[in-house]
Amino acid sequence: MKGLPFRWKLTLLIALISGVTLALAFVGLYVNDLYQFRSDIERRLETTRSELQQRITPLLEQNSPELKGSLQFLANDSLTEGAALYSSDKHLLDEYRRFGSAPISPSSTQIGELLNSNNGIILTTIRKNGHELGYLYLKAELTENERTRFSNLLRGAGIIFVISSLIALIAGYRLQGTISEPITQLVDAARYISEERDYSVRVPQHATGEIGELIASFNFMLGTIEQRTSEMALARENLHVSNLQLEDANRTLEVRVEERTRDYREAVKAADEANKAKSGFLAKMSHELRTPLNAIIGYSEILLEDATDEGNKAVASDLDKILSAARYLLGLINDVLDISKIEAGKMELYIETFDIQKLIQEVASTVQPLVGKKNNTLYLDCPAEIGDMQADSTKIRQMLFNLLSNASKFTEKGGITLSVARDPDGLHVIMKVSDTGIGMTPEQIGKLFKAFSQADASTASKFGGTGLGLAISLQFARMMGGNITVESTPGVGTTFIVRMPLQVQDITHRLVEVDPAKISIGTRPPIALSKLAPPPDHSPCDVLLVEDDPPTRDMMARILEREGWKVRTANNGQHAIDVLEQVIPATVILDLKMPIMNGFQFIDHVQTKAEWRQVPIFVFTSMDITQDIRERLAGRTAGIFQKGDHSRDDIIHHVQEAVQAHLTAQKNKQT
Amino acid sequence: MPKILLVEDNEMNRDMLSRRLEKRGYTVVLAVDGAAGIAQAKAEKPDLILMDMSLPVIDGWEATKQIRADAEIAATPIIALTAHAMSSDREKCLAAGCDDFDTKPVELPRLLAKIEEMLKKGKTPPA
Repeated sequence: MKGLPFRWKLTLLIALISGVTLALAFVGLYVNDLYQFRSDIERRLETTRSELQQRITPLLEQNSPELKGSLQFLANDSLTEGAALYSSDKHLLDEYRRFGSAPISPSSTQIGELLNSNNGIILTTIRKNGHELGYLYLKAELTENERTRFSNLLRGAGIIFVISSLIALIAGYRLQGTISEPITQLVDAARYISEERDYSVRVPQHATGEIGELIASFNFMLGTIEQRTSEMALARENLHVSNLQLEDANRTLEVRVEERTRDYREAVKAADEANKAKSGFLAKMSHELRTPLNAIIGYSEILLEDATDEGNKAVASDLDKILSAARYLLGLINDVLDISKIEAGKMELYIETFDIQKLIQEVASTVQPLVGKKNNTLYLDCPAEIGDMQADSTKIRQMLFNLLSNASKFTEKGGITLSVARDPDGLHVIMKVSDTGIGMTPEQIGKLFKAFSQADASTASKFGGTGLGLAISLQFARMMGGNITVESTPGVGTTFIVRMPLQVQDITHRLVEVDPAKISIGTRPPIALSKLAPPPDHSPCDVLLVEDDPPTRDMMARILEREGWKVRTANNGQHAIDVLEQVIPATVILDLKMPIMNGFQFIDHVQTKAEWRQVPIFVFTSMDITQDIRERLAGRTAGIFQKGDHSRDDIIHHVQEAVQAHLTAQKNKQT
Repeated sequence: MPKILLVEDNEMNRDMLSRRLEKRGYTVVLAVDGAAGIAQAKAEKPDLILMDMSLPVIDGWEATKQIRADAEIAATPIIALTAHAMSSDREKCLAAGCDDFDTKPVELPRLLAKIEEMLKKGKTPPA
């Protein structure tokens, strides 16, 4: 039944329902008919019995011989099949039997049992005045009557059943057109769609009612799916086109990035080589120039001594001029050599501990003749209790000499003051060189520390000098983790302020002998600077440079390496964390915008470990440094720089100063 | 008068320095390279040696080492002269056994001060 098509199901269902209904109706009819027939038989049998009883009762009373044959008149009655009359002592008095019937009269012993039977059989006790006269037995002709009626009924019912079944089949077939046909079409359409994925077909809308609604909904659904499918296909097509474009753009970009990187690398390499060649050339030239110059100076000195001894003043004066010109030239060559050494990263520090006041006194006595030339007075302000400092004394001397000779060059009949004091922070010493000279405008100050640039050309011709002294002094100061700043008012005077750490670490060698594990737990021993260990192969890094852009990373790493720093690089925050797990750097230079883990997340992560928190972080970003960014990073970085806003020197200096402070603080913690 | 051995390969430097030292009353003996320097030191037994470091044949560092290894002349004070003012050179000179160090070009008053100091010390044998 389950596997049958819908139309046959429907037809069979109708046939089954009508069959069952008809069968039930037939059974009901039969039962009713049977009941009516039985009661009719009984009623007629009862009538016969009462007639018989009236007739027989007087005969029984009189015990008349007519009793024999008294039942024979029942032959006129078609109903009665048989009858028997018994005396009160159950003796058979008369008997009637229809022709052909089997003897039916019950034996005298059966009479009692038959008394209550009612199946077309009556057994009556005949009484008169409460006196038992005898028994009457009657049996109705049932079988033939009943069989005829039943077969008639069955025939009728059979005809009705066949007709109604036919009607059911016809109705089922007809109904198929209205119910099963649309459903079949729906099924066919669904099958076709599921097999062909063709959402453009529609089921014909013939039916009404629920099936009609079903088809309408199905068609609507198909419409929606078709629309979605076509939209999706369109979107997919667009996506494909976009992907192709993107791929194309990527390829172009990659090629361009590659080209740029190559160009950039070549340019950097060329610049590097050019710079090295220049430095090498200058160093060689300086040496070549110095040898004959030494001879000039030496022989001039000999001749000057002779002339002075002989009292030949004119010759002595001329020789003095030759000597000062040669010494100036030697100074110039030495400055050039210094600058080229600094640029080539070959300038070394010789760090020792010395008494500050003693050094100041020596510088003052050296510079005294120079100060006196233009009738200037030198004032010294250096407390005796200022104590020692640890630095490269030759370079400090040179710096102060440069600043003082500079001051005396631009001051006439004025005062030059050299004052020295400890910074209130207890970690630095501040040396100030003030003059009452011509002063400078802000524009002039801006160019002041650049090599080969004096405030202006006319100044150079009027006052002489190479303009290298200040540049060298600033470089020296920065090499030692210090700085030089300047305050000036045109016509009033200039003050140069040298701020130097009291404990200078030799940055160029500083970390090579430091065990990174020791840094992290803060027990790094003070470095014996006069006995610097040769750098081991597995030197830890000074700077962890976190930057995702390869050209920028290369450039920064190169700059830092040229300054003598050991650089580790990472291309995102996560990578930087991996590096931190291995080695704790002296400082971190951090880009903010990076993939995987950006700078902000990195800084958050760094806060999780005490030993990481101590590492100063410098942020270098091309992002706009808004107040919001400053607040987000507040207290967690050592400095925030806008990329491109700061000179190379500036950056290096800041980083150096921070590392210096960091190391000094650590050292103080130990003691 | 104290005798000074000047080991210097550059003719002009040798001439200038020897003349100026002689003028101040020192007896000056000369050598033009490291090997000659050692020979002169043995022959002349100077009170002090001024040793240029970049020398032909045997350089100043090696010559200094050999002098220090020779018991006869080991106690002679040696002042190194070098054109390079690098701190590493200074380290190297002192490590080779020089007693002091000065840079070229020579600043005579400074060098004279060092010579005199060294000669005073040289009177007492090194501990």
